[in-house]
Formats: sequence, C-alpha cells, structure tokens
Amino acid sequence: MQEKTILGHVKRLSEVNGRRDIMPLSWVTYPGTHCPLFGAAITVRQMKNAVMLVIGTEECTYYTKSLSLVYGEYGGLDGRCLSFVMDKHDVTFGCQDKLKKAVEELVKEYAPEAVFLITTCVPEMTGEDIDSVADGLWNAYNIPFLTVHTDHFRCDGHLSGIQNVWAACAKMMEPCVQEEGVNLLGKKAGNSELASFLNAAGVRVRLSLPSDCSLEEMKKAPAAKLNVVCSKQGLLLAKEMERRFGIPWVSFYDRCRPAEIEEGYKMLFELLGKPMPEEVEGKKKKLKEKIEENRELLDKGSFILGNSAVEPFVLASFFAELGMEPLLIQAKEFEEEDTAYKDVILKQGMNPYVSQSANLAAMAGVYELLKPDLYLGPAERDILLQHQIVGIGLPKAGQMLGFELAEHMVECFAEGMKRCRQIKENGI
Amino acid sequence: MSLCRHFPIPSDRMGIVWSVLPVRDCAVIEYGPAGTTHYGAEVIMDFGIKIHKNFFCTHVDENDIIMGDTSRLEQAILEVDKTYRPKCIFVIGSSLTSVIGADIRGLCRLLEGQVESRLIPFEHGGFRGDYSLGIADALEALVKEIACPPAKKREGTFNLIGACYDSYRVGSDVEEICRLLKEAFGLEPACILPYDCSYDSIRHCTEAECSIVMRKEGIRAAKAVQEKGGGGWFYGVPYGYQGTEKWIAQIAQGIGREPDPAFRKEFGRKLIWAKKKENELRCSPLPMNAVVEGNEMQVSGIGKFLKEELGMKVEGILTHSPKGMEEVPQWCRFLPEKEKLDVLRGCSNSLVLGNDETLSQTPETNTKLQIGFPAKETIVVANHLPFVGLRGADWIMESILTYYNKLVISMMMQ
Repeated sequence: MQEKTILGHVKRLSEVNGRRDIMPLSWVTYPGTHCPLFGAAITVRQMKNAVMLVIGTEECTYYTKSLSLVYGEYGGLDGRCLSFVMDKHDVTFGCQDKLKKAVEELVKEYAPEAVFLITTCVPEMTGEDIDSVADGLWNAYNIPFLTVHTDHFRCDGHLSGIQNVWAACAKMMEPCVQEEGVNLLGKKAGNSELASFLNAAGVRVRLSLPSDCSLEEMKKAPAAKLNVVCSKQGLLLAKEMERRFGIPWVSFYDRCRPAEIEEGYKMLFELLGKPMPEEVEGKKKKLKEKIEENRELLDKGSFILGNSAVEPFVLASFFAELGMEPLLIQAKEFEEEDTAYKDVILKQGMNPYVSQSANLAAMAGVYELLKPDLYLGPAERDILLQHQIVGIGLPKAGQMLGFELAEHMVECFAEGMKRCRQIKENGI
Repeated sequence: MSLCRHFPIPSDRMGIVWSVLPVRDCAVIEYGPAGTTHYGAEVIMDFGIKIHKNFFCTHVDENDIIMGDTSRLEQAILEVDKTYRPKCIFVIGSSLTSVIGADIRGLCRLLEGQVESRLIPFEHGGFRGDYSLGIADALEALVKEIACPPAKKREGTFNLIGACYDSYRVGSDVEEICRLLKEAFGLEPACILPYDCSYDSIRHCTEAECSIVMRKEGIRAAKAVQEKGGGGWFYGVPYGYQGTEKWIAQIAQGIGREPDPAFRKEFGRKLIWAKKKENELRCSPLPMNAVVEGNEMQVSGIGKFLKEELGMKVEGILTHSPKGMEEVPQWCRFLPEKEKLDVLRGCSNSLVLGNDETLSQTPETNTKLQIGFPAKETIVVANHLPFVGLRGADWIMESILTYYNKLVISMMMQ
C-alpha cells in the first residue's frame, strides 16, 4: 500500500530512457533543486576580473547578491555581482534598451575585463534575445560579453548553470599556437593522481577549471594539446573547443572500473605522445586489491543514491558489479551515454527506482519502504539512523580522478557497511 | 531601476512569503521553479522564520509554461492536504506563473470541496510592488480570509498586527511591547500577527479587546478585524521615552483605562532621567546628525525619537516605497540606489542606524547601530534587546551618548 503511495508512480531503471522518465517522488518538493542561476553564480566567482550581471526579477537578483556575499571572491557588497532588475514594463515591452544603459553604467564604474550576462527564467520565457545584445555590447566596448542561460524550467538543478558558464567561456578563447600541456575541465583536479602522472611525464597542466584563473589564462586555453574532462559539466566546453580549435579530449568523469581507468590513461598518454607512466600499473593493482579486500563486505549490501560528485549511473553501475544493489537512484538527467551503465545494472538482476533529486521531505517516507543499508549524499542523518541506515558521503571525490577516486568510493562504502553491520548487530 | 549594485528592493511576492510562512498549522505551496524556493529558504531562515514541513514547491517545466497546464499545482495541493493535513494552504504564484496568467484563484476555488485545508491564493508574481505592499496584502488577506466574527469577547487581550520577521530583532520588540502592556494595563496578547500566531489565533482575533498596529502595512488588516466585529485599533510604535509615554497614553484613552499606578511611578522615574539627558544634548552647541535607514515603522519611529525628543537633525531613508502610506514624515525619503549610496558615502561624524549593507557604506567617522536586515555578520538569538519601548530607547540612547562623546572628544582635540 505504501509503495503505491510513495513509489507507485516512480519508474524503475528499465523504463527510464530520458529525463522525462525521471519522476519526482512527490508533487511537492522541499528544499527542491538549486537552480542553474546558483550554479552559474558559484562558477563565475572563480573568474578573476569578470563581472556577473544577473538579468531577472527582484527575487533572483536579491538571492544571488546574498549568495555572492558568502563567497569572498566576489568582493563583498561592492563586488562584481550586479543585477539588472526587470519590472512589469520590461516583461511586456522588452528590456534591451534599458539593459544597454545599465551596461553603460557598469562598464564606466567597474571597468570589467569580461561580463557574464546571466539570463533567468523570466527573460528566457519572454524571449529576450540577450545573445544578440551581448554580441552588440562586445563590439561596442571591445570586451567579451558572454551570455549564460539559466532557465530552471528547462532543466533540473544547478549543474547546467556550471556547464553553461564554462561553455560560454569558449567564445572568448582565442586561436593559439598549440603548445605542450593539458587543460583539466570540470574539477579542482590540480592535486589529483592524474595531475601527478602528468607531472611525472613532464606534461604541464595549463588550466584547471574550476580554479581561480584569470581571463587571460582562459583566453589562452586553446594552446593546450589536449583537454581532460574531469566532470560532466566540462564536457560541453571540451566539445566546443574541439569544434573550434580541433583540441581532442579524454573523459575521466565516467571511469570507475580499473580497466576503464587504465584505458583512459592509455588514450591520454597516446594523444600526448608520451609513454604511460609505470605508476599507473601500481595504482591499478592497488585498486584491485582494495576491491577484493572489501568485496565480501559490499556484496549483498544496498543503498539509495542521493547526490555526490560522481555521475549517478556511473557510480551505481560500479557498485552493482560489486554486488551492492542500488535501490533508488536520484538523478537529474538520463542521457544516451547513461544507457551503457543502465545495461550493466540491469545485467546484475537489479532494477532500481529512478527519481528526481533534492526532495528530503518526501524521501523520509522511502526509507522504511526500501530499507537500504546506506544513503549516499546529504540527508537528515538522525532520521536515517532511526531506520538503521548509515548516511555516507564522498568527501574527497571533488578533487580526485581515476584509481584514487574509485578507491575512495570503495573505502567510503565499506566504512558505511561496517557501521551498518554494527548498528544492526548492536543497535544505535 | 537599471543597474543595481547592491541588494534590489525585495518584491511583493517575497513580502507575502515572509508574512504567511510563520503562521502555525499552515503550509505554503509555491507554484514556480524549485530554485526560487530553495534560494528563498536560505534568506527566510536568516530572518529566523522556522521551516519544517510547511514550505513546498511544485517546480514547473516547459510543458506547464507552454500549455498553461496547472494540473501539477492541483496535484500538489491535494498531496499537501492529504499528507500534512494543514488547516490552511497558502498557494503562492511565481513571476513565471504570473506572466503566463495562471489562474491560481480559480483553481483554489475549484478544489475547495475536495480538500480539508482552507486554500488562500496569492497571485502576486513580484510585479505589483515591493515587499511592503506584499506584507500589507498578506496581513489583510490573513484576517479577511481566516478571522471569524467573535463568538465572545475576551476583555484584557490585544492583537499585535504587523510584527513581521523582516524587522530586525522583531522578537525583542514584541517582548517589550507585551511587557509594557502587561505591566501598564494587565493586557495579554491574543494574536501576534504574523510573528507568533496560529491559524486558530487568527480565526479568533476578533475576540480581542483591541488591536495595536505596529506598522502601516498592518492598518488594512486591523480595519478588517474591526469590520468583522473585532475591537478598535490603534496605530503606533513606542519608540523613544516620550514616544513610549504618548503610546501608553494613546492606548489608555482607547481602552478607557488608566495605566497601573506602580507602572506609572516607575515609568515617571525613567522619564525624569531621559528629560535630563535630553536637556544636556539640546543645550550642547555640537551639531548632532543622524541617518536612519529601514522600513517606514523604524525610520519614522526612531527618527522622531532622535529629532523631536533630542533635537537631532535626521535624514530618513526608506527601504521600500511609501506609496499608499499616510503621514510619512517629509524627512523620510525612498531614494534610487545611486542617490542613496551618495547620501551614505557622503555622511560623516553622524549617527547612522541601518542594516549591514548601509553601515558598511558609511565612513568610519560615523557611529553606527544595526537596526535592520541583511545582517550577514549577526545571528539573532536574544529576545531581550528591543529597539522599542523603554528598553529599546535605552539601547538606542547608548549609541547616541557614544556618538555625543565622540563629538565632544573630537571638538576638544581641535
């Protein structure tokens, strides 16, 4: 009866072929997903000397200004997070002339090196052509004006805002003489295992996004020989740089299994024309040992997948192969490349529910129903414990890649399972 | 407004959410993108408003926008009614649904027979006015839609209307007002709208002996209480020593009872001390200037204390439009951002009262006191640090005397 109420309408993985198949747990959500505007705001902050102009209602602009005060990079109240507030006249008759006047003031007062024009739901719905305004302003002031579209009614969550900011950056990149070195796109991966392999091979990491890079560094990003896509949010930029500058890319955000990771390194060093470092083999061996060490602990375990720095279907398929069953996957998207991971999960005889994310209010009703061992991601830990569920996270995943990331994942899950066994045996 | 450098003026919709969310046993459903609710919740919690299974969002997607489909909202209302059983659901539109003209009111009417919760729609999408209008509309709607004609009268009780969470340290102000009314007249609070009220206390607010309106946004609500058979209402906030004295006198006249003699005696002692301080300051040759920034209640209330009681020169800056408000002092202005910044950055050797944002813009030669949100550097815990009443006057007086001392020292150093 309860399943009918809470999960009855939620599709299982076998029925999921696109975003539209991912149903919300309930008709109402709380707190709900963050919007792409949030994603854009936390990304632009890391680009020194770039001004962000949010175009939208009082609410969107007020909250973004409030958020900007949390991050020192924006420079506080007088910093480089600014707003263009649309009123009902702008909604009805358009806001382009007024926007141009606002930009005139902005350029005069802030002398920016680049301006990100962040459009929000209302101007996107009324069809304001901010892209063409940006082109005109770029010509007029001879500085990059980059439009970032953050309409939340077309996507689920803030990640598209991050992705769109980086993709917009491709527009200000200039053709360069190709030099040695790679760009790491999508993660703070400058201290990762991958970066240390590159360093050992004498390959320079040119740009690591997100990081506090200057706009000049960003413009010269096409001087790299190769892009490494470290998170899915960097993929659009990598594809755009390939299209415009012919720079090849290798992805690492979708590799967790030892063989896949090894294949990634092989491709990477082949494209760089360098021999693969010997350490790769050692790391692979270590990961395999870690997996074997914990296989018994993980086997027959189960989990609900909330939010983490690893792609949900990549992570779920990795643990499914280790015998750990994902009972519910919370996801924002299901794209074509996720089909391969779906097949891996289904092949194990597992068919988890797939629901939209960020709905803790409704999630409370799912715990009793599915009774997982672990919950990965932010959650109300006390409520989890009431159901003998251990809440876990992947605290270092945001900076890790390759074998080290997979090892970290295994460690965190294994620790969670140990705790879970203790709780089930001895109580909380 | 074109380029906005700091915080934009919050919209009517934001004012509505801040005003209805605190009502206990009720829930809010926002019909709009989830990001707005998520974002908004963070600012709402900064104000001290509690969110626990009472604030929800439907989210909307392209289909809802293009097809004007409101079935998602319909399902959301049915679900919240069934799952959480609130006595009332406030259904609030968003800027998106307002632009497409979603008929939220019609839908609520349609669902009335199908749900147990009372449904109160708000179709403001943020385009009708600023937060002050939203607060006024929300307070009026709460009374008009929920309050019932009185079944009986509860003498010795009062409603306090307009105690809103967007006012910094509103909890302390409410405590002080309740203390004064208890000690002076033995009055007990019936409904403190919206700071500390439930659905039922609003329902029965007409039974109170009188309503006291703290800010002008609450006047329409107070009239609605009276129209439904409730007691008379008084507008006024007890800022300053003499201001508090006048406020007590106003209430005494209104309810036809004199203040308690012991209270009057104690109060009289304080007034003698305040009068001495006033004379000291008024006799000083030093020019004393103040800038007060905040909502109309704070600016005109604190401004009058400084100006009329102490003879200071006051410049008042409103954080919202005074449109539709009566008797706003001429020295209170609602300025465009650029002009406001010019005033703030240009003031020196003054007493400045405002929010974090305001205070950060004024030079260090000024003496500063925080009286408003945003308050990024402060987390409010105390309920005994008011700006109103005798205690509030004492606290503000501390800043005034600090400011005065600085002026004296500065003069002596010359």
